[in-house]
Amino acid sequence: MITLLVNGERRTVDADPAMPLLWALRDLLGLKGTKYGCGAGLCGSCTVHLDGEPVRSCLTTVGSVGRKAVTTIEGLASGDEMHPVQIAWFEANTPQCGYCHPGQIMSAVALLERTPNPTDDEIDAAMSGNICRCGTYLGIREAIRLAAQGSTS
Amino acid sequence: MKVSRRSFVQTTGLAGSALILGVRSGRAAFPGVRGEAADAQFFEPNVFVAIGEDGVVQLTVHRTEMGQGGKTACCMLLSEELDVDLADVKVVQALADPKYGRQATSGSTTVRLNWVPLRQAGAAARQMLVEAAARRWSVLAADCRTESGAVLHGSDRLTYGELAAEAAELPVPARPPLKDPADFKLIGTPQRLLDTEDIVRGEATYGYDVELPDLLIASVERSPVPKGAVQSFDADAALAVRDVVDVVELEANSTGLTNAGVAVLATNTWAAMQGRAALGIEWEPGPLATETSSEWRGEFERVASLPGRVARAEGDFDAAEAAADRVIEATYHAPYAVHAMMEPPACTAQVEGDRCEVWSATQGPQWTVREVAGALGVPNENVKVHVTLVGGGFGRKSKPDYAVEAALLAQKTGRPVKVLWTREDEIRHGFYRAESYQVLRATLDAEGTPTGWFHRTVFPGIGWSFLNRRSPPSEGELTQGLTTMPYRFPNIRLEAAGVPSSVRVGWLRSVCNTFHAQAIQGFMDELAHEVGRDPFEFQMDMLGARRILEREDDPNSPYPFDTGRLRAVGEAAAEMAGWGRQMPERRGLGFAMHFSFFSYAAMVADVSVSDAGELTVHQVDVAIDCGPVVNPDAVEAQMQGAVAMGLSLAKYGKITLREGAVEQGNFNDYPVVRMEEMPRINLRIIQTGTVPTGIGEPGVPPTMPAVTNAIFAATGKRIHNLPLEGQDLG
Repeated sequence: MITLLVNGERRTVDADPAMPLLWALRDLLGLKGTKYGCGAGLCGSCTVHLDGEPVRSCLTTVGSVGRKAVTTIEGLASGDEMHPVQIAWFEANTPQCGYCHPGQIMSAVALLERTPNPTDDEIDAAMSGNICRCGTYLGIREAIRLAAQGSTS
Repeated sequence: MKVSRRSFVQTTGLAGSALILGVRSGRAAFPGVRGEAADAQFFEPNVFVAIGEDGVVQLTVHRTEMGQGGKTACCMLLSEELDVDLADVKVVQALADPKYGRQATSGSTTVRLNWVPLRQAGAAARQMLVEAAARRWSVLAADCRTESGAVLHGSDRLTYGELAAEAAELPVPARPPLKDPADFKLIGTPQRLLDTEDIVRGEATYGYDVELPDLLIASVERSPVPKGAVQSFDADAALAVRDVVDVVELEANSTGLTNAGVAVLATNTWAAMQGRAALGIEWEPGPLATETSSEWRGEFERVASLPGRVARAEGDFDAAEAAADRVIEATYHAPYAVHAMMEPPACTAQVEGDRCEVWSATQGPQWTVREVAGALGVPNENVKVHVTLVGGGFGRKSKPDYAVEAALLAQKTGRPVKVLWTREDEIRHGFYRAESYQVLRATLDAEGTPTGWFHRTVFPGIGWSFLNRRSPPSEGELTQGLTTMPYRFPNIRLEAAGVPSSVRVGWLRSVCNTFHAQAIQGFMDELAHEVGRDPFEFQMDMLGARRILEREDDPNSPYPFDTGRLRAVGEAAAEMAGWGRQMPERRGLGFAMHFSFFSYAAMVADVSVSDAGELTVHQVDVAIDCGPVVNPDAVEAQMQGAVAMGLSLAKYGKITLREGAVEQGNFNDYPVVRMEEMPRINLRIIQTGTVPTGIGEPGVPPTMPAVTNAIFAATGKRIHNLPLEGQDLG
């Protein structure tokens, strides 16, 4: 049995320690907001936070998480109130199919925690690992700028 | 700021839609036919609109939402004529059912084909509600008006819910009058896609996310080459993996839709993948393990050197060639390409006796019904297909192969099964955009005036994938850019020929338009250069005076090719980009335009190429005419998405085969455009005429040639082969 701290709750999973955190979240804990896209750390769809740092959950084994706090897309909102970055995403009307966007949002939240007012180059650098095949990159940039403005006002 | 939960549009998830639609079977066939078993509490004038006495207005969407905004557009069309606020309606996703008409979300058809029927569905309901109110008040219906889900007359007001029971007793008008477009309140206004809040909360349910009690996850190792067969495998090794429950061999189906494979079923995805990795399958490669891309190019060249089937001829090209002062020739090549949508194929199925229920991320629910029923040997009526939100489709998810796999595995195991494709599965077992090789020739007289145009296109037709034989390009595939060539050459010959393929060929966003536009728009740019003309002005000259190119197959089409509209988008894009301005060293503008899916798109790309050969696409100016626009935000999103996809195809899109097997497997060797590569995009929407046309696909074809023509302007290097990756631009 492996105990994880997920979105502020202590959760126990009966899993092979080599199982990627992605599948433990999705299949064992029912948190399906974190998406599979490549299984190889190439696309960013599975991005979650460990102690606030963005990681690819497809490459992070469940056995390696230890006491670090896991935050998934489901853990961003406070009940009915969405996280400012989620609100920015909503306001900027960013998603198309939306499948990659939980991962995009997790990367953006981590960026804005570190760099509240990112330049375009800083946005590009932080978001480069997250692929969107629908091509919503301009909307993602707009949402990040919107969230950044909100955080400074 | 606070956006409260579910404050915008109530959408109903899978369980909800199953419940509602399961109870309410027996709705009327659309259009205008009274349902046989209308529920007393519900007013259901057709299959798309239902209003309860509780006032809930429920709209049923029969098309798939995969990011193009079709679901939202359908609701806008219904809501406009019904006169309800989009924020007040409840939206349910339809099951697969012929009563809805065509449900395939493909070919950029959702708005085009539903423009009239869905507005009529809304208008019929509205007319009946107005009539019910007029009777209640003993006034003329013509003196009543509607607004936000209520009928009004003077100071009297009745909500649709209050009128539902009475309206349900009235006859359904067959051809209700539609609003004057000048009175539209919703159509033409920017609207957020309906699932946006669920998506950003991480609560949207895609095919990958379906959950059922007792569910098994299946991961399938498929034959590396279509028509290969399993020789041997180690089931025990797979079963030894923790949480693996079963191992099932799958045979290829006779239509070529599914390939042979071995499925490992487990209680979680990781275990299924680990078990699959332990199978150690030995394959019989089969008859198609022949094609190796580097060598197969010769077969394309050989076929392209022979006469093809003439698809269109005007004047006498041979005579023009014999009399020509100069003949310009170029060949264009583009490899196979694959979809790489972010959500790989995923489907869940449950079989009980001779009944099957399917939850699929599909663009083709009705085809899914037929294929699943056929595979299980049950009647179509016994197969119930739910459509999930689709994490990108681009044509791949029109094919129901993964649903067949799920249904067969559910039947064999007796448990619900979710088949999850990995990224490698998606890249290696796709239905690919065809590889193509094209020869173009233009003849010039002594004054440099173009006298003839010859174009021979060679590619494996899509029919190959289904007809189980060598399939030449079809008429439909040739209308995708080849035969719609709009320029005024006095002598024209357009030919087509097929080559066999080791892989299945399918639809990838814009399909054959991508390579035909690349060749035609690239070659027009070359010709302009050869005759010393500005490429944009040369294109406009060759387009000539406005004319209508009628479709031979459908002379009464409401969507004729109007060259004046193509000119208008071309001129708009050129104006937006400041065409003709002086550009810095190694920076250039490239122009391209293309008619596809009955829409008109033109682009100017602004690129620079460093001395080291590094390409930067700074900006793309886009002009689009897709007729009247339902949701301008969706049009903008589709143009941005088309540029991103076209840029990915131009820079990286390459699938190669070794002895019939795909060599690529993930985003490391099948790269796609990332954020830092995304250019600025300026968009101008031109709305001509009264009928909307396609928007999901028409933006892709001009992207590649706009970029490669810009590379020529910047560097003098003419690009004849895609992708750009691996070519020296320095």
